[in-house]
Amino acid sequence: MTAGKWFKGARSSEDWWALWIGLFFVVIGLIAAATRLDLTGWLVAFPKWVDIAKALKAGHPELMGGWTSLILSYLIFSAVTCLGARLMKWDVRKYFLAWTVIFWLTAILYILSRNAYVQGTAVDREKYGIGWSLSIGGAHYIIALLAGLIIGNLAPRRFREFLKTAARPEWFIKIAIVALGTKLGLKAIETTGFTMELLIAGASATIAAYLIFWPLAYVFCRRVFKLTREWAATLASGISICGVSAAIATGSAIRARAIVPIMISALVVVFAVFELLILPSVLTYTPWFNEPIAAGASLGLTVKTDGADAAAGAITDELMRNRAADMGVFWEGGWILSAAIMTKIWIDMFIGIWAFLLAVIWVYHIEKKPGEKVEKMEIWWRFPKFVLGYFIAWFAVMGLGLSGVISPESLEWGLKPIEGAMRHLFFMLTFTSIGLVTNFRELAKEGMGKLALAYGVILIAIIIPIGWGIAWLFHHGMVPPIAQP
Amino acid sequence: MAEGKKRIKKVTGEAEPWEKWEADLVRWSVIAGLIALILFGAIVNIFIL
Repeated sequence: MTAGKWFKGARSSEDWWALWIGLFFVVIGLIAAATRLDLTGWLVAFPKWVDIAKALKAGHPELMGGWTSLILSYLIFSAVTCLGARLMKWDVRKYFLAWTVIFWLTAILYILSRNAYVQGTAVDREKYGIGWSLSIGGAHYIIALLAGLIIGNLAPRRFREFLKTAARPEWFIKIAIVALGTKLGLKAIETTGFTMELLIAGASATIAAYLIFWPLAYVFCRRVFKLTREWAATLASGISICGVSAAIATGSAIRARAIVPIMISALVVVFAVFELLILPSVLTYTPWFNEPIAAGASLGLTVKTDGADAAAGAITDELMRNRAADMGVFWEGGWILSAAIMTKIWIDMFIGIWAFLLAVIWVYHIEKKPGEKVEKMEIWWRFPKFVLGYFIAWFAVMGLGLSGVISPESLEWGLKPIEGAMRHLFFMLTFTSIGLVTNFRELAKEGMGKLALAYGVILIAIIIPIGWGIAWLFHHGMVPPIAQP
Repeated sequence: MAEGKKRIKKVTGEAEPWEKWEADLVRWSVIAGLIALILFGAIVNIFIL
């Protein structure tokens, strides 16, 4: 009888398999870093491009060409996820065929949406020699989501059902979050000087922000919009902490039905794109211009996907520096963007803590029946195991780097493809899959409108104004260093 | 299909009544947030800004 064992589900649940797969690649990255054997350079990356021949590259471009890297990535990820599918007792043949369609669809969408005319910033325009661009950083996520939604809602029913065999948004995002742990470890190693000050200010702002954001968002959902607890808790986490990752972690911790974090994730992505398009201009052409670092940090607190936050930070960095240059002040590039990313990284760190707290609250207050004795193990069983993988990855990388066992340069070299290329690819697979499993017509008819309204109102009435206030409080007066001529 | 429909209907389904522990959770979280805001705000303002 294994029902009560701590490792229940270790071979058969998606959550555990996200941990195994994520850590497998992290360990490979660490071995590569320790031995300088190129075990991770094959991972495919999707850079911005104007010449389609340069739309793909290997994680370590000297190792192989872009197309070879894409094919190898497909083969390796197919093998690993099929192994997981087999041990989880899915129909492996059907999974493999559907996965193949989803992988290549995602790869094509990723390539097309990374075109420099779509995503290029003002700096990129110079780099790629183009006269204009839409500057929609993070557009690949929204394009993947839209394409998924179109296929998931308009394709023949049999085809949709077939694709759903491998459209596993929760699984893919959990694997990506384990990989995210390595990014935090690498960031912790490289922080010094002004970066350290930014990190401390960002951490303080984040702790204060999410402790205030979450309960207010929850109250709004419950009292104003009359949502049930599982919707309110998941939406509050998504909008307060770090978007998709937090919604998924919360969904696992409170045992919400699968549809709950999926719908919230779709909202997070769509609203993040609106924020990305609007906030950089608002910050640049209002008195926020006088507080550039606070403006960057405010993006980390208010834009809820990593991609859109980084893109909004890059655009704001660009717009503000150009405006300052017009006034004869030349700020160093990248600091406003760094403020946006640092704050977001801290928010990312709180996923695990919040998931744990919610698991405890749900076990002891919500689902406990009068007179019932709740096993302490229940908290462990519902604690999202992929979050454990994320912490292991983070502390392993940070520990090995700070103790000098592996040099920071080697860690960066071995793990960069995991932290960057692999994580982004799995985020893309997530958004394609969210679209595929979302039946938009039914959702619109049955309540998506109400959720979208709740999300929009909370974003505008709570998250943005409080996020702005807290960002100012912890970063006011900070300006980027002056650029050397 | 019917099950899917029933599942989705829960989006706008009847919400559970607001309970005291929820009010406590919200109150204490906001109090903790405000304490963090004042404490960390003071530290950051004195030592960094």
